[in-house]
Amino acid sequence: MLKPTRNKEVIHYHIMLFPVIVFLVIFSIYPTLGSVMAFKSFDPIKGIWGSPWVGLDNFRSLFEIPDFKRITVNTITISVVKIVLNVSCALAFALLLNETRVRWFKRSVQTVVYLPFFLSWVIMAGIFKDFFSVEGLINGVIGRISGNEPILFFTSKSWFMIIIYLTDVWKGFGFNAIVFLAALTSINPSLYEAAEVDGASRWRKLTHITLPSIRPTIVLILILSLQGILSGGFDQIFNLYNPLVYSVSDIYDTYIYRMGFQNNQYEFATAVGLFRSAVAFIFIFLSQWLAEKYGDYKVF
Amino acid sequence: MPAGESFENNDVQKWFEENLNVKPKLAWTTSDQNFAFEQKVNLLIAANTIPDVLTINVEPNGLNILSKLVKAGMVEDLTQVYNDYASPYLKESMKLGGDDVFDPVTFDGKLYAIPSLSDIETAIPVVWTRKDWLDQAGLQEPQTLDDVEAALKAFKAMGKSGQLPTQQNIYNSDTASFDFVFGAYNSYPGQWIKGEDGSIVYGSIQPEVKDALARLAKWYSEGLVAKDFMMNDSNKAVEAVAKGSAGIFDGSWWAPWYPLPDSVKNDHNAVWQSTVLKGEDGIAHARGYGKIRSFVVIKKGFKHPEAIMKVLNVAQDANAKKLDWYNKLTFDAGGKYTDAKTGLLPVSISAKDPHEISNRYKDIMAVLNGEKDINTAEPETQAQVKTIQTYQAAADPFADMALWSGANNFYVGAAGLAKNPVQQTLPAFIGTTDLMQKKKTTLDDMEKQTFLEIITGKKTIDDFDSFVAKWKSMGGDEITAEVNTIASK
Repeated sequence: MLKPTRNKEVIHYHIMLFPVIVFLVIFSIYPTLGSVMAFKSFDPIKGIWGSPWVGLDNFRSLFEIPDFKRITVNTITISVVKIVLNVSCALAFALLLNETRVRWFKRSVQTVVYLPFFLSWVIMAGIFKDFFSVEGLINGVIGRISGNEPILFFTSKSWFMIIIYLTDVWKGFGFNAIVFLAALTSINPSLYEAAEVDGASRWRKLTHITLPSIRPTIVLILILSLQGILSGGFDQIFNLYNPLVYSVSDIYDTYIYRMGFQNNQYEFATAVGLFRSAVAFIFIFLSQWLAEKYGDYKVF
Repeated sequence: MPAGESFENNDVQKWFEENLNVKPKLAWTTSDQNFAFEQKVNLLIAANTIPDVLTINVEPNGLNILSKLVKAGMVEDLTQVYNDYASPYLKESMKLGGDDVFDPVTFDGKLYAIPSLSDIETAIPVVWTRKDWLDQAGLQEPQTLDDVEAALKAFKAMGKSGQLPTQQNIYNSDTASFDFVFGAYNSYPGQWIKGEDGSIVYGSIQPEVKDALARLAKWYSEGLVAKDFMMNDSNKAVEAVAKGSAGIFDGSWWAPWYPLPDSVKNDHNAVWQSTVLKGEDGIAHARGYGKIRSFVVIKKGFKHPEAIMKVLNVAQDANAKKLDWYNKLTFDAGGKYTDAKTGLLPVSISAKDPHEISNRYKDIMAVLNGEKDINTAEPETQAQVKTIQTYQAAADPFADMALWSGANNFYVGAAGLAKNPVQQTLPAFIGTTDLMQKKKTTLDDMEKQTFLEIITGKKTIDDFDSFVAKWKSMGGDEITAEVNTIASK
């Protein structure tokens, strides 16, 4: 452990960090105390603290959902595939973009690629629904080229998942790509020069210098992505799905949303949230331990 | 609405402020898609911060919300308030709903909400067709499903859209749904109805639904329905009507307010007519609503519930067109707020005869045909007749679209309800039960999936039978038993 610095100069770092910590406590840490609602039967008049305890009843309700197995499998599959795709596409893109020499081109592509990240899924869903509709642009192009029947992207189980993954990557990979690009620029160029002298090919340079140098960054991005392991992306799926693709795209959040029409049970939803957080915590802890052991990666 | 004015600041509101000392503050509004309003109300209940006055619709789960509010002690007991302050006219009108009209909103003998009676005829699915195109094709107004098919094919041959505008909610929706098809086969999916043996059964698993689905599957395979209709919300589905490419669609009698004005504005030659189709057995079957459509609750602790009751008294009079000042502002031709997109009463209630619309139509026609003297007619009839006469006398019928809608509403829209005698089937049970909370979501998912798969041809019609068997065994039978137990109490 590093010895705490007594240097008075460090105090201004703490001052800069202070507002963020306050924000975090008020909006993230304090509300977490409300998770205790997962073990109670919620009465709005009594509030969270006054409501009676019911132990694990709410969790039992979760496991007794007829479709529990299906929505769990879907949620895990979707989030794992999204993580893998997002990280690998961002990495590949960053590696490619790093090779360009024209600075203005590199900068502008970086910005353009990052922009979709900020758009809301409600807007994007509307646009994609139009884009991939029977009379949309994609089917128009397909019709011109092959003259086949239009593809029903949203009602076919396989095409729908492809759309989900494709649009999610398109929207999100900019974020990871920028982090990777930053890491790439910090690699010492003299390493490459030495490799050049040794007669290394481009591929060897990539596998022996580039990738190992940014390994900590890759691990960081993976760990950051893991907090969404049981999330799956409600906004996107809710705005794009329909009953014909429930069996492959229904995740925890979308199913529970529909349950809300029978009755809104906030304690139940909290129990589900707590369950997901617990699983995510285990995953993050495990991966962080693995990363320390095998990946040269240290948080502290 | 005139510039600078809003729901809180207009002449109607000024009247209420001056005469009843009531000034409403609009707490919030939501979108009308995806049940956004009900979601928001549920959130507020959990946070224990509901507005002072709330109006809640019975569909999809309003009675459920009410029982939650009552159980949590969040709403006022209105028994005394109603008895002491409700106007005689309101009390008389409530009786039109039957003796048991207050039962759904009464808990432990106390009244917790003021209900609005359903005008059950608004539930009737009406087929709207363009007369000018039918004339071109040499066809009569469609009376059966076969006629609808013929019309669609004729429109396609004319170079227009040969498809029926359809939205993702295929039943129990007021526009662009398949309600008229299900009705034609005397089937009522999504509703609890009285079965042949007198017990309450679920409409979606009855054999008549199978026939309706078979017909829809045939329409889909023939291209009479858009291949990706399940992605449309109701607004998107009727775009074709406004654009002038659709000549036939499913709607309600009030379509002259939406979506017809857009169609007529863009094409003055569009002449729309309405009818309720005769079913496969020759009778015009149609679905209906439960007895009450919506209700008003008052937050517990609100200091002057009697003031709200007085507003409701005025609202009842206003909705029955008995108030001249209100008619002048909001209904008469050229009225300042006649084309306002929202209702302007601070809080509204409506207790009318369940068959108000068709009865009113007959009354209006009697006056227009000279069989009845306008001065002896009820205020509502007088107001409607005046609007129709103003419209008929107007030099340019399209100059004032609010006038166009107001006049055509009864003259054309309600006329459709009278062409074929309509036999409505009303739901025998509304609301949700404990078992429904646990199991209905899965059953509903399975139903929506199966119906869509059958319609789009991914499954054959015989899969309907296996769906019914699964529905029953996965909790459907249990829920049916529970519903019957509750209803027989």
